[in-house]
Amino acid sequence: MSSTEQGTSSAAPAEPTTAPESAAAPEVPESFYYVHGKDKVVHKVSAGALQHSALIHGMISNLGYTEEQAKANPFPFENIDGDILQMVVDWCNQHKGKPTPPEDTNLPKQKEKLFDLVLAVNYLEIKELLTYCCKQVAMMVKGKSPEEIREIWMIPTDAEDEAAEKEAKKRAGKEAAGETAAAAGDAK
Amino acid sequence: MPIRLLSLPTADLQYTLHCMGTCELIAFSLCSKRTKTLSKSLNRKIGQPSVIVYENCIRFYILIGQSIKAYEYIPLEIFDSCIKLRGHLTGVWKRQEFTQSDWFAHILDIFNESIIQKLLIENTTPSFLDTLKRLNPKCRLLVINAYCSTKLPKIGFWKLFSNAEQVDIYINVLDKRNDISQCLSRNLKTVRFRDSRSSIGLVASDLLMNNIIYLTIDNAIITEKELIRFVKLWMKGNHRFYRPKLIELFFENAKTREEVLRGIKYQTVDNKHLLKRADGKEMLLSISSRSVIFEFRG
Repeated sequence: MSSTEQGTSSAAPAEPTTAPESAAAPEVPESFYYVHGKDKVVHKVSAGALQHSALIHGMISNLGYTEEQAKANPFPFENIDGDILQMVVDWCNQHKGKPTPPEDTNLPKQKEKLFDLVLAVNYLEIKELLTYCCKQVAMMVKGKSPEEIREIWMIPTDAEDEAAEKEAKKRAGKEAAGETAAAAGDAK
Repeated sequence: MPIRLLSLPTADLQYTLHCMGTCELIAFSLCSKRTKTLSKSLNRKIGQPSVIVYENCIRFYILIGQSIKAYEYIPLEIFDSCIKLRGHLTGVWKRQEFTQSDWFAHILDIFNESIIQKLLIENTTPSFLDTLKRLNPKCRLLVINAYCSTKLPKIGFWKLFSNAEQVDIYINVLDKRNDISQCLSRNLKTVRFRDSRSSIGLVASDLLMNNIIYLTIDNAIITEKELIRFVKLWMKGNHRFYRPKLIELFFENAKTREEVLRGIKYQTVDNKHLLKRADGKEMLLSISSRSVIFEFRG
């Protein structure tokens, strides 16, 4: 569980409600960090939950922030939509301190957001969630024909691929010509 | 709710494709050249498929399932311009420009498969035989059935037999003397001529020239005199390499042990007749009324 607060990255978030700790949890108070996505909504997440993300874990392991410093410096993930980040944070909280089973039914099911979720999870390097998301993507085409797969996964035809390739080559040629002209201008 | 699969980061895309079932992967590979290349790059295995070739349809049995503990073979029926799936994934996939040969080549290609467990030819067309020859898949067992139309078994046999570890042929394709000597002199592993209605005539020199390691002829014709001649010539051939390990000849007409062994010196071991050459090579002969079996040792 996490709490959210509308505001900028510099705004101090309200005290969130956190997931109840298990009886066997250590007495040492848990440290919390703050993240926000494109919508600037700040999410408070425990260090334990953030361990799922290799990216964030790598960032915080070297910081040694105090609670106040962490509050004041939420991690900005401007490339991730707020609702997607919320899903990720929820998942990390639900699976804090325990490995994900191979078939986790507790995970987000919103297929319309699946693509963005995969990108976010890939960026945040949450391996277990990424594995599950990829399986979900694969399940989307179970029992489907090539035409249906093309539609579901927006696969371009050969003609479209060729046209895109030509376009890319043309663009690259123009850019190269531009760079050459600029270099010639600099030389003068 | 569409998803731009090909825009996923490479590792995620690869993992997603790994999670797909085999039939879905075939369907995906048919979407475009790019998806075909991606499917091929996964190096998915279909466990040496079995293939039955009919005149207008090829039935392709592929292994599906992610682990060896949970697998099943499902048949894909390949026609010109479409594939029919049977079993848990029933449906028809069409591709107008594809012939049977294209489908066949496509499936072997995306799974990087060059070995077919069993290739059973019930009937086919010369053009498909050409395709098989061109694709050149190795074959554990090639079976040419008796129902093939007249000329095809012979064409099929001569085109395909060199790629097969074992050939079972249920129709006589060796109807000329020249065919017999040409076929027996090939370096093949196992060939079984199973046509019991049509006989294959042999002479001693055919057996001496034989290079097939395990040869079975269900309906052979050879005189006792030629059999004796073969045995005697083999005995004289000291230090000459002889590749076969087993020759099984079955006859319609009964032969007696005395006739086959006339004038030959042998020891009897376990009801078989052991002949030893001066170079240490041995021939073990089992004779019954309708068969002679030669085993070669050393």
